[in-house]
Amino acid sequence: MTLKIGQNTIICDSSELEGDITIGSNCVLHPFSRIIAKDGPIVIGDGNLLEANCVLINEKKGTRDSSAPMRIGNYNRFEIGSEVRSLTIGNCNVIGIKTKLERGSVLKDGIVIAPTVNVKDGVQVQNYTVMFHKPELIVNISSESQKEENKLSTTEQIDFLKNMLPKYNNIRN
Amino acid sequence: MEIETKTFDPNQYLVTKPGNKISNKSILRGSQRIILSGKSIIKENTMIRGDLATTSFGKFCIIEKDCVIKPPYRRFQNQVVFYQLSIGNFNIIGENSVISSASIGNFVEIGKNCIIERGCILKDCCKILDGTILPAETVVAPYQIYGGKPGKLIGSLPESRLEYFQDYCIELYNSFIPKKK
Repeated sequence: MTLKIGQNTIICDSSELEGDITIGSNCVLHPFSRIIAKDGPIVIGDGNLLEANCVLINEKKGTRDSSAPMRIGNYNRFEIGSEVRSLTIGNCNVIGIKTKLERGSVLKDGIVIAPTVNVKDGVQVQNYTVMFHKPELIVNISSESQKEENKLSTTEQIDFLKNMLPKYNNIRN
Repeated sequence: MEIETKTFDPNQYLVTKPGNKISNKSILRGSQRIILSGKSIIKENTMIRGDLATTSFGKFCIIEKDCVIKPPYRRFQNQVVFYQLSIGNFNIIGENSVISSASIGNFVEIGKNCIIERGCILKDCCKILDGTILPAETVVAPYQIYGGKPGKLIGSLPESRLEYFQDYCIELYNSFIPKKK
């Protein structure tokens, strides 16, 4: 049970951290966000934003499944109620409200996933993809500028929240 | 109109002087900036984020379980600003919904499992069906029904909706009473 937290990272007191977790610098964890490393460690990069009720779980799917570390890149945003079991996530992604990423899915860079989309086991999501319901699931490839856009919107929000959250919430030291 | 009465444990709920019934298990962050006008019900596990910006509620707002109510944000000049969320009188918000709209009018019904993204504006007397996702900055006109993924115009409501829904909200509030020992 080790917990490593980088510089300038804000973790609210009511968020739940369990197991071997490494969090980079400049991250923000909203109240009631959860990170649970049951079967293997979780490594989170710099500048990530975890909103309320969102869960990152490293858990084996069955008895045959081997344990592996879960790696999350830099500048990702996980919105309200999202559930992430995927082991590899790249940089600058936006995961929408109540989205589920199953174990075995792989995400690359600059991806936007719209609310309530379910990314299944074995799906490899390519760079600059947009996934949304219309009402059936539609997958589009966007341009490279989407990656910069995602990164900007996340870092701007983190800058605001760093000043605002400590005023009204208890912060874990 | 008859609605069956629902009882609650008086130890689990807080009844304030203006008539708000608030569950002990609800999560109210930044309670200095949450304004309840009175006669509202807030049920278990509902989260209201007053720490980001002021959120105000009118009278007879009924908020069911497991909702998240979070003020919207806007980006300009390389900055993010969270701004006020205002909810009017006589509204029902269903279970498990996520509300991040800019304003909600009066007599609005929002179903279960809805997602209303940032900056939406819901005018008076509209209805959002169960499981709807309204994309960011949608405007819903008065007396309209929206549904689907993404939310689209499905139909319209009769003019009698206003009086009917007002009575319905008052009935719902009055039928939610503490259990007698």
